[in-house]
Amino acid sequence: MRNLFASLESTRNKSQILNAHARAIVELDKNNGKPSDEQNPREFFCVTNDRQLILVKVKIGKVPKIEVITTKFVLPDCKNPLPTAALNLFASECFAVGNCQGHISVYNTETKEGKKLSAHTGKGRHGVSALRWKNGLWSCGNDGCVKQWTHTLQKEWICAIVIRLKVESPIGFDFHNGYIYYYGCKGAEFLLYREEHQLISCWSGGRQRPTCFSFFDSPGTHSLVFVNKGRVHELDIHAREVEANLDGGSGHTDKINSVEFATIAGKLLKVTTSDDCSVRLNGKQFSKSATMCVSTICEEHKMIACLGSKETVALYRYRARIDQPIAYEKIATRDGGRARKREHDDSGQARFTSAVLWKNNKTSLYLIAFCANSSARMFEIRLPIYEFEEVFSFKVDRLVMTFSFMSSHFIFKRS
Amino acid sequence: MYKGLILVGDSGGNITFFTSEDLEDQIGENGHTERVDEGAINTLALLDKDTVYAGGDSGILIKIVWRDGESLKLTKSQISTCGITKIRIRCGRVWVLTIDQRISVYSADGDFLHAFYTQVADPADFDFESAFKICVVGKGMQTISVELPKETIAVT
Repeated sequence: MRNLFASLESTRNKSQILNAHARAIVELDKNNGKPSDEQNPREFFCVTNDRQLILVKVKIGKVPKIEVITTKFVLPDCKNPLPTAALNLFASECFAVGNCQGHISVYNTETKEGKKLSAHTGKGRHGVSALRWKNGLWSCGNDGCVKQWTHTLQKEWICAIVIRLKVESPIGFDFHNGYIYYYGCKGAEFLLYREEHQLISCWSGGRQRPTCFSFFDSPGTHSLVFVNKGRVHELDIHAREVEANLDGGSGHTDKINSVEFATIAGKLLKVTTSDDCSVRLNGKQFSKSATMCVSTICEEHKMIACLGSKETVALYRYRARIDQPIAYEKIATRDGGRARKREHDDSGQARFTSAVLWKNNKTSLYLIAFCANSSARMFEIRLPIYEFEEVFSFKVDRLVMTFSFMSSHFIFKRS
Repeated sequence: MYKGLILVGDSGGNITFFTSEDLEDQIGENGHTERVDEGAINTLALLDKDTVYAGGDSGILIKIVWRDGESLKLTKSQISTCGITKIRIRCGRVWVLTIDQRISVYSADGDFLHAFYTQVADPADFDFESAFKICVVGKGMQTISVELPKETIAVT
């Protein structure tokens, strides 16, 4: 846009109409983040040297042409009121203009004086980087926050929601499929997040804010344009790469460590475990306990064992019926802490790292698991009371990474 | 000799075979240990009762064959400069996931058949959602439709 106005500056029309040089220009977002119709004139807020905020309509054709100056607004009373973001508020004939001091001014087309909100004016970084409308006014600031502003009956704007972002310099944000997406810079990296999930991380020159990034406008490839050391860089970010990092609906907030599938009653059962210490069944968390980290499925008995820190084990039974969602219930737990105290074992409690659950016969299940302290434990789970009994345990020399069975029946000849 | 039941891969590149007698004595030292790799063993997959595939941080796919009364026979092939995170056996094929975001498919004899890529960063595990779909997890999750070779479909 600055280039556009640079070309306009050479025309006589601009000097005649504005009669002053523009100090800062920002486009009025009329479609809430979506690209504007090229046939309609685009509107810009610019601040002139004589501290006036002017709304300018520009018709962009082969030759950019300023059509008309609509309105002059009163700048908010602050030291540096250069506009950085502007949004047409759909709920009413209002404009919201954010400036680099962190204030948001809400203007009405009738009253030329704006209502000033101290949105992102905290200590340190300040300034408004983006504005959106979704059930209220949302603002993103250089202080690393996204805030929602609602209009009360007393015609006051109050801050209803504050979201702390994971980027140092937020650039923009948007809403899509019920999620909030935001992007910005952290060091030399450009980052795109969907709430807690990092979707993209790529080099963007460091300290250079990308001048152009559009995530939802174009399917396929998204372009990231930024300037570094006098050169314009353009990176192509493929939508498939972004979608791959969208966690596929797993619901986990950290790296997923394992995935297992089972099919019951024609329904697919997907169990995932993650570094966020949760086990999820088709995206839904089993329990609110933050200790689950390993899971194993026994399809024959329709059971899932979740193992976690301090050698705890939780046993779930799942069932599925036609036209009903998969249901599950916790049927037994083994408290590792108390169990180890009884055994007078001085090796300490450790977290399970891998496990296998399988059916022995109609009256019992077996669970073998290795711990982070290089010990192996095998439990017999007696049905139908689901009582745990430790069959054996031993230690190996090194940390066990994985294990596998050659014959699960051979082991139980003594039972 | 190796009429065992549990194979354990550890962080030292060892594979330990535990037999039923070892376990009944409840002494882990009884297991028979063979060092098969220089890096940690991350994954094991049984092909049949005599053959197991192992992979780890060194990126070497190790085929281990044993028979009663015979020593182990190791066949190694460097398939990646990155670590192997998961091996699964499906349709008589060996499917290997490596950290370089590649899933390679080998025949039961260890011959390379084909490979494809995943966009999931730091892939940790995968499983077969259906005969033609693979779900890869890591820092994200992706479901990939796989075009299996004709001879593989026939096996399915």
